[in-house]
Amino acid sequence: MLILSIIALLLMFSVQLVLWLKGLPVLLLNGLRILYDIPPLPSSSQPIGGLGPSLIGSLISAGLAMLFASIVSILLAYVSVELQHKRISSVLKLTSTALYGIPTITVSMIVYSTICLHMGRQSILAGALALTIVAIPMEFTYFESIFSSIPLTYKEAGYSMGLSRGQVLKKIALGIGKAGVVSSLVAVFARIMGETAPMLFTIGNNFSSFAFNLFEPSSTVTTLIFAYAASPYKVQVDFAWGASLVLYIIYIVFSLASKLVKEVEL
Amino acid sequence: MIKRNLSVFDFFVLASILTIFVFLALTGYVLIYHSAEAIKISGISLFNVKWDQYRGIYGLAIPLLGSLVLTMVSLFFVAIFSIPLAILTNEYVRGRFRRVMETFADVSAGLPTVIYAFIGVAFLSNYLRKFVESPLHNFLGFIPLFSCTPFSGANLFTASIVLSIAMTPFTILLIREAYSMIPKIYIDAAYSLGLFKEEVIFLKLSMIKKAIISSLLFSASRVLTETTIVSLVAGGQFLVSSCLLSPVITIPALIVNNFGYSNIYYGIDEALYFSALILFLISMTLNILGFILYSRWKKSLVV
Repeated sequence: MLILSIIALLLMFSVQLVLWLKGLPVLLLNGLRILYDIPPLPSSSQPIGGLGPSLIGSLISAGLAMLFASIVSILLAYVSVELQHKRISSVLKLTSTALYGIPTITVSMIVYSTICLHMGRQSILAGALALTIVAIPMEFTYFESIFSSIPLTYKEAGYSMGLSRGQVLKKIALGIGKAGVVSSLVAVFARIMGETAPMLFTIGNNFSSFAFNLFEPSSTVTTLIFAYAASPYKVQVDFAWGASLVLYIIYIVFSLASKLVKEVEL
Repeated sequence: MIKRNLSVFDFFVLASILTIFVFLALTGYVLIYHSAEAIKISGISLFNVKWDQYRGIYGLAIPLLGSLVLTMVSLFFVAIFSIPLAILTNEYVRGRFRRVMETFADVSAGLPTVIYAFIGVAFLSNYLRKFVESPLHNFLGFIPLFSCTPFSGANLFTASIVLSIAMTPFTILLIREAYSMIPKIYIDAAYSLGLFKEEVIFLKLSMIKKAIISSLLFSASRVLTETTIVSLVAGGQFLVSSCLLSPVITIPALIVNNFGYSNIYYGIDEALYFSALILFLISMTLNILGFILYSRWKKSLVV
């Protein structure tokens, strides 16, 4: 049993070690340019370039998705906890589980056929919509566990003072659970920035020009790694090592930051 | 009953509920509509073993079989990697090192799978082929499982190793959660009867048997729908063989490679929607089974 666990640990560590060993030279070669430049041409001799357009596409689409998904999820989780003994609560939980079970490649196909075909092109908006469909069930689960751990006495006190449902949500539920809510938002943001399959057909393959308009195609860091990994040019494969390390660092920083919050003392 | 007027808050709540229902209904409608079109266009040839887009034959039997075989093999590797590691973390490691290992498992559980896919195709496939798969074929080639020559590292064996590395932290998380729910009374009683530590570990494992199986079912549903790792590492040839070292194709890899060409090949998109519907039904069944097992296990944990 010890041998099996050592083999498993070795495999998991070696994967991360190789990522640092092969990605760090590319990062050191480029410096800060990796955050704002365009990727290298296939005819270059060295992988000097940057992730600029893809990083912008990632951040804008993930940010939009988080904005929309968090509003919907907070309201739905609050209603599901408030009306716990009515049928609406179990219906919402079932819907959230059903949405969570949709394969992400299918989400991409659906958004492509409903939005991209009618608009005539792929766009950041379609990518943000695909990420919203992926993010809502994750956030619903987190927020439901946070809101159900708030003691009933505080909410009853709020209602007895004459606050409406929206005010109780804003001042009491979010006030007590703000650490958990913030840490869940950061953790889910990190996870949806790393999603590849929902973006494959919806956001396009525009790696070399900056797109700030929501109706223009762009790309994400994950689609860039996916496209360059299977490329026949050595420069692009070397550059993909650097892009993987950048994505890894962003994900680790956000994940560790989401664990550093301090709970409110009740 | 006291009637109250609808407020702004109620309007937002109703809009959110409508949004989530619209998303679900849209998914169902698009999948079912296009699958019906696929059955109208291709008919029974959807279950053919040939995929020939030039003649309009979109046979999904081989990708479906590849999906199921890849899931079973990588589930085997996930089980033999995650259960010993979960026991190691929970029983034999203490203090700060244990917290480091737990944080490492938590953080790796959600790591973008495209990173694992890229490391698999650029690094692991070459070294696995040189040091593991070629010796397996040379020395154990008489067994049908290793009887084909691994020409490149992109085959079923490499894909299942990479998939198990990607899914092990998630499974360890679920097993660890089940471990922490065992009531302490049983453990104290076992130690007071004079059992050794290894025997107590076996006792604990037998108590969380159903929870382990349900975690493996959740991981199976994630492996089934995994796209990036399979399309880069698993080869992608329309082969079916009993050999672990041959390339394989699965439904998500098929969708990624062939989607969007409906103006050239008539009916290809509809066949891919049909395959996505089958994938959705199988993964939903695995999720529901895992959930039922988990709730039954939780109810049976009575002190």
